[in-house]
Amino acid sequence: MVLFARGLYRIARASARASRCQWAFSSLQSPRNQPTQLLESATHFYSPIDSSQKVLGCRAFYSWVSNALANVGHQTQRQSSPAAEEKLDPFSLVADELSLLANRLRSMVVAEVPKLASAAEYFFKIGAEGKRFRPTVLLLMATAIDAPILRPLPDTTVDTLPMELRTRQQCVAEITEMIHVASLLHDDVLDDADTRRGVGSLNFVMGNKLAVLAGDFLLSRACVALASLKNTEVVSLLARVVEHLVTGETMQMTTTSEQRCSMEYYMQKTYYKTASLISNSCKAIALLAGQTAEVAMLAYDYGKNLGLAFQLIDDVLDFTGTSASLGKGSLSDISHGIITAPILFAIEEFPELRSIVDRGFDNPTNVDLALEYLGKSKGIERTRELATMHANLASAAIDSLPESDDENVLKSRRALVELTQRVITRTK
Amino acid sequence: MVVAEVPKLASAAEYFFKIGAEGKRFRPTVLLLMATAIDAPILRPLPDTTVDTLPMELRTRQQCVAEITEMIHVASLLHDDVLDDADTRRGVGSLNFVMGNKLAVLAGDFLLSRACVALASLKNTEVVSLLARVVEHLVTGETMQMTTTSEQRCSMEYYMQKTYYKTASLISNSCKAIALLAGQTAEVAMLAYDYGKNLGLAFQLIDDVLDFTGTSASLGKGSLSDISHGIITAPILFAIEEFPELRSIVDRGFDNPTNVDLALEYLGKSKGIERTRELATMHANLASAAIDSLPESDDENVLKSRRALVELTQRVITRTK
Repeated sequence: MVLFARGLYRIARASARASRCQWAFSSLQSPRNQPTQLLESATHFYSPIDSSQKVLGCRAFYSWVSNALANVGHQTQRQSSPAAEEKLDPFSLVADELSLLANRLRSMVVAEVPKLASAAEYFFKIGAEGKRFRPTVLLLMATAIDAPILRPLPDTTVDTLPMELRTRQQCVAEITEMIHVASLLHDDVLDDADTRRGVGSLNFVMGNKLAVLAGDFLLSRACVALASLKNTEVVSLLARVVEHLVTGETMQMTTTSEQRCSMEYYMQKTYYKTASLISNSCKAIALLAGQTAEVAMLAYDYGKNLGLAFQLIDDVLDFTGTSASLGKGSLSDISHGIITAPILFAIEEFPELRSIVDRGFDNPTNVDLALEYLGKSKGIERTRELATMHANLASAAIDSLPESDDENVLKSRRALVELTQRVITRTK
Repeated sequence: MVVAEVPKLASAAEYFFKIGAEGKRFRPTVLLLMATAIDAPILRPLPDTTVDTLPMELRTRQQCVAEITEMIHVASLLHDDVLDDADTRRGVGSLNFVMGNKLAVLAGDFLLSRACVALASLKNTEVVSLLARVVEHLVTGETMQMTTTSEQRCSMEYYMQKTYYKTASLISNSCKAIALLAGQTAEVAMLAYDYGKNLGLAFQLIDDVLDFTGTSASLGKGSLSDISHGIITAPILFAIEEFPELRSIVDRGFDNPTNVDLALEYLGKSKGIERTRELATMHANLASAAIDSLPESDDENVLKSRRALVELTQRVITRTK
């Protein structure tokens, strides 16, 4: 689930003292865990088979978030057209397929070297408790575009058609998840040159190395899986995604002061970091189905706008948290010097905020100052508006899909539209 | 091909392609020679190409394979240096040392993704598959090296498997890819693969020797970097076969330089270095034999390339650095 991934990513980054080597889940519920303790098992990682308190705690966290999301679903208002429309939970529509996917993913990750397998599996095991946002979108999309195929599918023979196709689309979902997790693992690698004081502990170093290796491992498995699809356009698409992820992360790492305050730069970076993966994999789903270029474009548009809407709300929630008021969020973006949409909008209203931003946010007083300006401005509102606009664009893309009579197709489309609403109304 | 939108990324990725830091471009050399060496009259239509664009198109695609191979190789180096906390690579500061671990990791990822995009552009799914598997092998090999048990560390079989993954797989599979792109028969593709594999193994074995001997023939003059990182290579493995007590020294680890000296003593007494050279020679000869088994040809360029490939097998084992 993107939310989880981002949330955990932020939590991992927030626990500056503990090793940030992505296994800082334990700091969620036992802050007194010493880094060394944490990393003592770094070589084994946290095999979730261990029913250690930390892991159970993580699972509790996940089911809490899952419940919260489910509740959000019940609160959404939505213009429903047919009167007899049942209450639609996008996630449960694909739940069975998802667990099939999860199992396949797990077995795909089994490597010759056990340590690597448990490292890579870690994210998938934990993720299985969560909602698996991206794969959900992809599987729904696969059904939503499932119109009668007008021309022969490339690379498949007619008699293996329906079964084969679905499996291949599931494969895309798996690949997407692998790429996503690999990028998280690599994003968490630290800059020893900057942060090491004196001698880094072995655990610190070990954590970095395994993070790099585990990420490489996942990427390589994704490559092999991609190759097995025997569709070079899809290979191209998803390879470009990896490139975008890297570019986005680097953009975030290496901004000039000018770029940091540019909305255009920010949106571009957000596309690379968040929206590219889901938009291009939606497109891949359509291409695998032999769909027309228009349909593929609509799938892409849906994914892109959904991703952007998601990130914008994410930015808002980082300030507001579960309440509507400012400063209750984790404020992790701003404390890491990451300037997001709300602040960028606020700067447009209050140019003096720009110099505060330039001073950096190591000093918490500066953070408070920025929050003041943000509160006075319409930054939060305008960000929400922008998110809503993107969510609506995503909806519109679904509505523009070629007509269909098939009940499953229609259900999936409604579910995809439902998702666009959930993305903007969620409170965490 | 490596120009990126973000300048830092571009300079990071370009780091090892700049003049002076590029190494001898060993792999691309082999691949381009192989491309010519197998260039026999094509007996059946090439997949994915039309007849009139044939010769030009093919060569370009084969060059592309060479570029892809180099990108994959450099990407793996960038990551390996992060893993090893290396300070220098090819005589210059390693990227991670100069620009930070994270950027090195990102640059490696970037190169890898560029390689994938280039791969896809070849529109040959078998080739994509081959080289994707190479990436997997590189990672597996590196992991094998990082996470050995004491048992595995002293196993010649494990070592050869790891060496295949880390060194030989890339060149063997890209040689094979070259042949496949040319629409060659399965036999020729296999011979290309065999050449690459044996060349790669021979190369690594001599590399192991040189790490002990350096440019002199005597022991201990090499950089000794393998052993000081606790990496047990063929010479030591052979020595252990002769002197089982060396095993316990190895198990103690090599953080202590006295232990290194002790191991070197045993190595000197043993035939470890010799036997490694012999093994390397055997593989070099197998590589030669693969070239000699290629279908006959009258073309002067073809013959020249084949002689060059054979020459390479000799240089690999006689080099002193």
